Amino acid sequence: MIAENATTPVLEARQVRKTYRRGAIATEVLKGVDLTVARGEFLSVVGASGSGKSTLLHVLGTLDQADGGEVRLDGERIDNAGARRRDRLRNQAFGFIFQFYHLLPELSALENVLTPLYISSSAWAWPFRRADAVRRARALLERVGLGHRLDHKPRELSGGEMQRAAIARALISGPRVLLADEPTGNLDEDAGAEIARLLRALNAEEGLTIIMVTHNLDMARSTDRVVRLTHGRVDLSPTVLGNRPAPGGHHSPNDGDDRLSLERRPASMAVLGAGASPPAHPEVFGVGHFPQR
Amino acid sequence: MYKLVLCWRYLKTRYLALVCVVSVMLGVATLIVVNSVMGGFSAKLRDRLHGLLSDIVLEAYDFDGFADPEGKMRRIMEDPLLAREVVAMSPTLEIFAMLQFQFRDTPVTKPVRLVGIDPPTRSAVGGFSEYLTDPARRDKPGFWMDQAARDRFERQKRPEPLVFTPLGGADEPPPPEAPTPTPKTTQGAILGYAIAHFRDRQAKAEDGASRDRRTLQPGDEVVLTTVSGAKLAPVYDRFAVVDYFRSEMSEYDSQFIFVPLEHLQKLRSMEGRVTSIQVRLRDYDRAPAVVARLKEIFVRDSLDVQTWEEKQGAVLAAIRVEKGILNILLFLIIAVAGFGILAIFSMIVVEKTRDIGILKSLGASNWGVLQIFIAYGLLLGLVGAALGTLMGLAITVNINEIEHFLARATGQDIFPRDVYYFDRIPTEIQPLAIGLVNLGSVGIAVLFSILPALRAAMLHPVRALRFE
Repeated sequence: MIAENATTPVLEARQVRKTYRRGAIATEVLKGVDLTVARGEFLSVVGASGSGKSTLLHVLGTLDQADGGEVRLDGERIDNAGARRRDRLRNQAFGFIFQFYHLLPELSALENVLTPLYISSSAWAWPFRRADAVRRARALLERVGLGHRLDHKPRELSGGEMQRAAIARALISGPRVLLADEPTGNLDEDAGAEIARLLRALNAEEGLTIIMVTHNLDMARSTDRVVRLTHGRVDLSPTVLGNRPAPGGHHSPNDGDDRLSLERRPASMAVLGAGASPPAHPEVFGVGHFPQR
Repeated sequence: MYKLVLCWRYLKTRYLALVCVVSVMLGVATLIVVNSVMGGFSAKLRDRLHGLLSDIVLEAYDFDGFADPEGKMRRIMEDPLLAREVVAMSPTLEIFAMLQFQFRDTPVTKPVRLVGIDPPTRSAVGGFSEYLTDPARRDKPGFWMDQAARDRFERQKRPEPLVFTPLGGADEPPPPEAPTPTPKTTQGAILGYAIAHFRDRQAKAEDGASRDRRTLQPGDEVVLTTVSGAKLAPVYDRFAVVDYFRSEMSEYDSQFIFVPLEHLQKLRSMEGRVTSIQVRLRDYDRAPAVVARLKEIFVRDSLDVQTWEEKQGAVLAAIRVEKGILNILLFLIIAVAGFGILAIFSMIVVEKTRDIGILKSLGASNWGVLQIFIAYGLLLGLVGAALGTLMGLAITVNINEIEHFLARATGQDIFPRDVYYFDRIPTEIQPLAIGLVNLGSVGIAVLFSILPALRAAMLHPVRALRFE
């Protein structure tokens, strides 16, 4: 690990721009996004469809390249890195989880978790690394509660189980930041809550930095900070919502929900720009409860 | 590492890819079988074309031949280079002729090529005694008749003994002893096997194997008519069949008749003259040098010096061309398999688009993804080629059994044995050809997987992940 200054943000985006072109039509998805993520922070990014949340996540994770602006990881610029370095960053510095899990169907749960190590290891070195790698993968799968399904193929797993395998895969290389793109978007409520709890626990117990794009406002509320994107810009200064809980004082999605929602509701309202009267029930916000695709 | 894991998994789980394997396999197997059989045929044909011909032939331009073969052979052996290279020589007199004999009381006439030879030296030159059907004659080549033939010959020559019935009294003097017929010494002739036999197709239908019926037994008398060498006049003589010559080259077996050289010289009144000298070399690879030297020595004589390959040049060239063209045409089979790989790989790339995005999100490089698909193509090619080689070799080794089975199953004679006089389909397994076929097919498999692999490698990770 790089020697880190405690005050350096783990990930920092400055005036990030991204334009997609389809033929003659250019769509500016990100119009100068500023974002700072502290170490150990659990940040959620919300916004309407097409507001650029996923694109931001991809740009942060070097899966896509920005057209302008800067992205820094532990103070080092990564947005202009070469293909080789970006590949290595994705392999080691970032862990991705996706709405559709994106496990490789030919491989078992264990092998899927091992894939990032497969990629980073040469065929010659693998036999020497294998035992250690398998031990780590097993431990991770047990950590996410899949210890009993090591050799199952993705099609033999439920959605929640697949997502847990995907989380284990994202963690195997010991990433500095976990990037989650609507991790519960394709799951039913219970399974989604499970995943939310798991992410929360990973953040709390292992100090994992998580950036999560979500439609689920309940879930967003359970994070340390909510960033809202509207039309390619950060809509609200993060500090408005940024009531970081005291260390160790993380909330489970339900615990303290009232307090948080009371605190946040007015801000969220502004962000959402939805109606004048506060909804009677948080569910009303929950447009994102349902799968978006 | 992941490249190998994924290739192997894809190979095991994509049944579509097995189609590629099968198409490569069939192409390789076909090429190997065709090559082996063609190789076998051409080796056998070369063998037989060489058969009667010695390594090098010194030949007169016309049927009058040239004089003093002994002197010429002496001159050859006096040359240091030739003395080292030449193992054996034999003078030969060759002429067209007409054969006549009686078969079941009907006269039969056939055009033949009459060859006067000196059995010991001709055998030393090669391509003669090993083709004789009588095993005893192979060890002791010549025109001698064995006892059975002699008996048959004499029985046919001797007139029915007269039976005298005594008339009257016993005092009558006994009739004079009937003179014992002394058959005039008749020269032996060795006939081409096909001249003295015909194939009985009825017999074949009964017991499965073809059967040759003999029209001339050893000891039977034949008449050979040819032209005199001195003046334009027909000459003829009677000969006794002593043996058959079977080179399995139907052109030779149906035309050649061997008779003693000296007798043929006498018959054609051209004593001391021959039409050719057959030469056998120690090492055929040095034939060009020997031919050049011979041409130098006999530059003043009107002699043509040729190797057997030059004499059979047209046929050998035809075989070579045939084989080359067949190989090119058959390689198209593998090219077709290649296009199959291209199509199927393109489908797999589309199908795997999301997985490619996943791999890239996990840090796989473009080059790595490219390698997966090229390695996949290589693997398919290798597996296909290996299976194809096994299959091709299995078919080649058992081709006769397969042919028998097919002939029985379909009722069609796939390989009529009388066309070539082969009993079995000849095959020759050529390791070099098999190696090239394998290399070519694996190369094509890799070549045709490059395009889809490039497409996969160039996929944008985000777009690949979003692909549905």
